Amino acid sequence: MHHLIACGSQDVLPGFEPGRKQDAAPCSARAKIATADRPHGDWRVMDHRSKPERHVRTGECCASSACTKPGRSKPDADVEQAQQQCECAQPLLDAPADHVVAVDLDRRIGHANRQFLQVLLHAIPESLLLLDSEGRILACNETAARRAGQSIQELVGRPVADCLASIAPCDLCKERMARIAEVRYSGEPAHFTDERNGLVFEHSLYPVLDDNNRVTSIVIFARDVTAQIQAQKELRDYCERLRDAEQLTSLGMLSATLAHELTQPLSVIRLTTQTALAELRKVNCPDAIKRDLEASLTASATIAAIVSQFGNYARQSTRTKEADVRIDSVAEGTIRLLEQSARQANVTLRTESLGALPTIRMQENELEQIIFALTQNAVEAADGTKDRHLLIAGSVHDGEIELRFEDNCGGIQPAHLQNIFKPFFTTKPPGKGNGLGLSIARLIVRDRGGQISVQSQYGEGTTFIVRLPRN
Amino acid sequence: MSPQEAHVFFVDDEPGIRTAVQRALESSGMHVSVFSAAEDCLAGLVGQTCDVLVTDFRMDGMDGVSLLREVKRRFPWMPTIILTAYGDIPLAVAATKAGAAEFLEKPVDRQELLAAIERALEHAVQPEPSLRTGLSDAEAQVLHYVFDGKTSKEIAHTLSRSTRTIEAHRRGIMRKFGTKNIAQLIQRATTLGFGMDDNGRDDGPNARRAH
Repeated sequence: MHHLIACGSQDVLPGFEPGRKQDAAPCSARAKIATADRPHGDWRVMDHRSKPERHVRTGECCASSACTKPGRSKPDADVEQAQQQCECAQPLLDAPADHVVAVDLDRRIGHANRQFLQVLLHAIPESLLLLDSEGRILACNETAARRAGQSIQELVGRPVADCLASIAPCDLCKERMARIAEVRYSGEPAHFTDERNGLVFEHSLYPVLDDNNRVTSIVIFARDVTAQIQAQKELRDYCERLRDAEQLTSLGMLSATLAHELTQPLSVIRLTTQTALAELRKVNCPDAIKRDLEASLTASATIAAIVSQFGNYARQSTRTKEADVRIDSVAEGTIRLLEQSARQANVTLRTESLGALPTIRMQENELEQIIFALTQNAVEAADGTKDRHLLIAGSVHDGEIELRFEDNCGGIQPAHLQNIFKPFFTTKPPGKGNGLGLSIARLIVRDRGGQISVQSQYGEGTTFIVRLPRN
Repeated sequence: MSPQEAHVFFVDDEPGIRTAVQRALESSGMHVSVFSAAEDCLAGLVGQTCDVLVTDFRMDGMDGVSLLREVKRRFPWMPTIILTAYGDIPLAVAATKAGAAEFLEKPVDRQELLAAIERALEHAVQPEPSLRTGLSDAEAQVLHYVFDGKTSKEIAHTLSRSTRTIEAHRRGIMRKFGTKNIAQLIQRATTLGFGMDDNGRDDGPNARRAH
């Protein structure tokens, strides 16, 4: 294993020496030599020339250089041996004197690189295994050993099938071994995900080929993605729950919006008709005209009754399930829903001082709708060409909770500013937005006895300020 | 006062409603001034006599309930009517607490509106002509502390003003009420509805500085 890494390190990480400037020049010289002599800077060539199989078979080589078992050759000696065996080392001896100095440095740096890579390989949270062509473990890192419940020393040299059998059920073993066999025969990398004892692992298998394209060994990475899968599942569940709740609230909110918006013109119809009727009664007016106006008043009373039923429905559906809601956690959940579209639009979403706010008594879903509408508004205003941001900041003033939604996403045209809270007003193309988000947000805020206001600099950005009474 | 002599202030941010209400009230002989914002209405109250104030609840900027609170602080004798959305119980409670004589549900009915205004006028107490434009913000504040039995010096200290300024406000208050001493002032002010609640202390723009 460490042959691979030792040679690989020089190719993969040329001149790794943190904080040592004077080594920079020799490093590059070394890199040149290495390149000239090893035209193929990949594992295949290194593997071929250092013949790891032989070492493993004879037990001379400890595949993992972390191994300190007596009787096994030291890594440095091993490298020297390998370099002597290696034909490519020959031209170095014939090289001019300054190149010999470079070679010495090359070895020291190579040693440092090896140590670095050893630490790195053992520190990574993924399992890493190297198998020979017959499925024996040539090397592994500490994560792999920990997951197998054994030490590195115990694992190295054993067939991987044995190790698997001790930790995984039979079917899973068979499946994993089949994948390994597949890579061995095809010479193509393979990726798959499976589950063991409730943990989900993502495996990547890479074949190491010799010059004749024969698989000499296989590198296996295994990543524990359980938490990631769980988080994805939670987010999906949350999205679904919110969609359900949103549909219900939207219906309630739509009813409330409708009721509110219709009440205004209804007031006008009723008042003007009644006034006209009162004026006509003072003068000598044909009864037919008065009857017409009375009929229109009766009809408007019917509309008023229907509207009030809408209003009742809205109240019933929104006044339930009130609770002391934590603003920061609602904001966090809502922002998570919009993270993806914000990323696509190049908008960074940030919150500030929301954790310090007191709880507020309202329906959680209503607060979600306010935050969702205002966040979505900023994200959708961004053109995606420049880095934009939205900052949601909270504060408390005179018994009111103030939430500021401050963005630099381009602002609102002055002509549109007075319309943005009107229902069904949208600047988006048809089918993109229903124009209800901001009007619903305003309705909720006002229903809570709060205020929502907007300041916008066209070409720059917009700030929405929501003030809600502390109950 | 008969409705025909009454001057009604009406506040609503919807132009259609403003015109309709103005026509409805004028057709029954009332004088009407309409305002599109609560702030404009407050400014109007200082310059003109208002007998009944009718306001919408939901408005941009200062809402109806805040307007009522400010009116109660500086023009406490003035009857007020608030228009609310249908069946909004919490709002009705808030409006009553803020001193609304009545609340009417939208869509507004002409007869109901006229009847409410007439009832409000029946119970209205007429202030002295000198008090018709109300107390200034500072005067309302000083009067509140006078009710608490504070001396000019104490009020000056609390409000971070000079004693002379407070004395000037007190003289202004006495002149507006047409009273000669504190006892008369308290009696008259109580009749007109001053000092009935804590509004004098809480709502003034200077209130924060005072505490």
